[in-house]
Amino acid sequence: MPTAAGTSIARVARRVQAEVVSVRPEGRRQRLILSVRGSEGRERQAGVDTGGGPMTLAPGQFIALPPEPSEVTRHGRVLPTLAWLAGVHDDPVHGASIEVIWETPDSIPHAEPVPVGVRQWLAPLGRPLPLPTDAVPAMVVGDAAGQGVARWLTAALVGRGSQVALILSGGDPEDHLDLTSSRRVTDQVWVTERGDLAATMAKAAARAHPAVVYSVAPTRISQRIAEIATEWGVVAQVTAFSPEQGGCGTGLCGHCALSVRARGAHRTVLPCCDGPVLPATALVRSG
Amino acid sequence: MTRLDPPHPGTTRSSNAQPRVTAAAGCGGWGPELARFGQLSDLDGLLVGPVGHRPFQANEDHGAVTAVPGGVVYQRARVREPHDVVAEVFPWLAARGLRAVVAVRGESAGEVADVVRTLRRSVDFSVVCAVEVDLTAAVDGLDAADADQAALRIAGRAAEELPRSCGVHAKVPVLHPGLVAVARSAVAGGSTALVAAGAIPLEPPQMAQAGPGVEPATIAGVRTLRGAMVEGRLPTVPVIVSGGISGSEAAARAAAAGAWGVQLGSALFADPHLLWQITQERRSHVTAMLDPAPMTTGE
Repeated sequence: MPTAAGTSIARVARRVQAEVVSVRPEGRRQRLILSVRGSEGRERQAGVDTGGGPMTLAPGQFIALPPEPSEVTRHGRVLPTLAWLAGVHDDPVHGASIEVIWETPDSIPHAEPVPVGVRQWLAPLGRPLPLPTDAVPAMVVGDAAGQGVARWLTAALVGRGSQVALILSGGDPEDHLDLTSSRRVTDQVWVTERGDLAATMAKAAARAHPAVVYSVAPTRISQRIAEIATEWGVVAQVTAFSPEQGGCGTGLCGHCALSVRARGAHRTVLPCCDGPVLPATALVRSG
Repeated sequence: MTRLDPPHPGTTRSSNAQPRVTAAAGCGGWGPELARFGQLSDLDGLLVGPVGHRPFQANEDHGAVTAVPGGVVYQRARVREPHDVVAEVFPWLAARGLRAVVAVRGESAGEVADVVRTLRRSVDFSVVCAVEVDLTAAVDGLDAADADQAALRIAGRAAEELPRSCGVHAKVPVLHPGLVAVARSAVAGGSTALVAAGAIPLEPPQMAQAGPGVEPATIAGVRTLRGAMVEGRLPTVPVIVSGGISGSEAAARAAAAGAWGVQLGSALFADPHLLWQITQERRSHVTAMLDPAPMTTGE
């Protein structure tokens, strides 16, 4: 099982040497397991030791695979490939490994092939989903690739004693990740299509009575979930960026720029840097 | 070949030392974005911006940045209102003891002057070591005669609004047919350095192409400017290269062509750490050029 999310979250992104050691199809996507180099045989500390000190990874953060220098100079490729982090395992003997959800040509155009050999990754990127300090009933919604994050988050919440309703949505059956893995983390798993998401949330809420709602979904779906949670009067944390959207993943290119409400005014935020997790109040449309 | 030793930008108009290596406008964020990747105090300085009054209408048919062979096609970065920059960005920089070049964008002299005036009124204006005035949009589509007048007016108004301790960098498009004339007018207007911008304007006008593919054009532009300085057609000022610099080798090629400084744009999308790496390399290069061989005492 993935380790529970840590409490001290590193906001510093590092270069991490890692190699893909496992590829598992999940719907039209793949789950990759990266073995982090330089972490073997180190004493167990808080977080994952990548060779430069412990680094805590948590649900809601993502990882970037920059193009190799030769790709930059020969082909002019400058945009990295971004992927959701979906789990972390830390083993003092075998080293640390990281799970990511990898897009394929079936899921997005111009998807990159699974990297071969030891590559330099950039991690972690983004602000993670904040966890409640006490065990509270929660609802976690994951859409498409975000289901991997939702699964990890659910495991972390259950590990803290929370009752969690996990709702998995997608555009079609191939959009769903491995359901068996999700059923291992909670007994309340709801599978739905995007069009039925609101109704499914209502059914799940009637049973679970959530005190907090989390959403890992593209911005438009997160916006709808934020509005539903606001109608219920429930605190919600939602993602406003998905790695499959592309861009640089660091907030430098401005691709992710989003106009949100904050302190009664509209302002532009960069979810790659300021998020991807934002409070629901920021995404709820006025009026 | 005549060796040019342009004055340091800080020795003409400004007493502030100017950063040799920065991000390009719209590619380096406003400070916090880069702070996750290293100590900002280890950099020569930041470049924040663009700042302006007239945001480009976002083109919903295109993403902000799309990969294409040779680099990226991107929508020109959204400008941030100067009041917003004064209220949020300058205090953030001042609290950390950082200094920055501020990129200003406007299509008329009055618009640029108004933006600069607003920035100038900030109590934290001391964080600004230079203002980069983007002339690319203002001269785009103008012939050489009209373009140099536009450059003169805009650079001149910006310089008038700024204290002498603050540098004025004029960003000129290397693909403009009147490049030297535009650069000459910008310097005549008070610019202390030229930024040779290699991004290729596209249609619709808010789109442009950048990336390693534009490096040859940018370096050719640097050579053109430096050649004009050698021939006396352009006052000698430092040239900062902006466009297509994808790594250490490209930065070295730009330096060999006569660039005094380097701006990194889309290369930072691939690896933000590159900013620190090239800063260090350029410092070593400068030190190697300036420092004499180690002295021996003969003991």
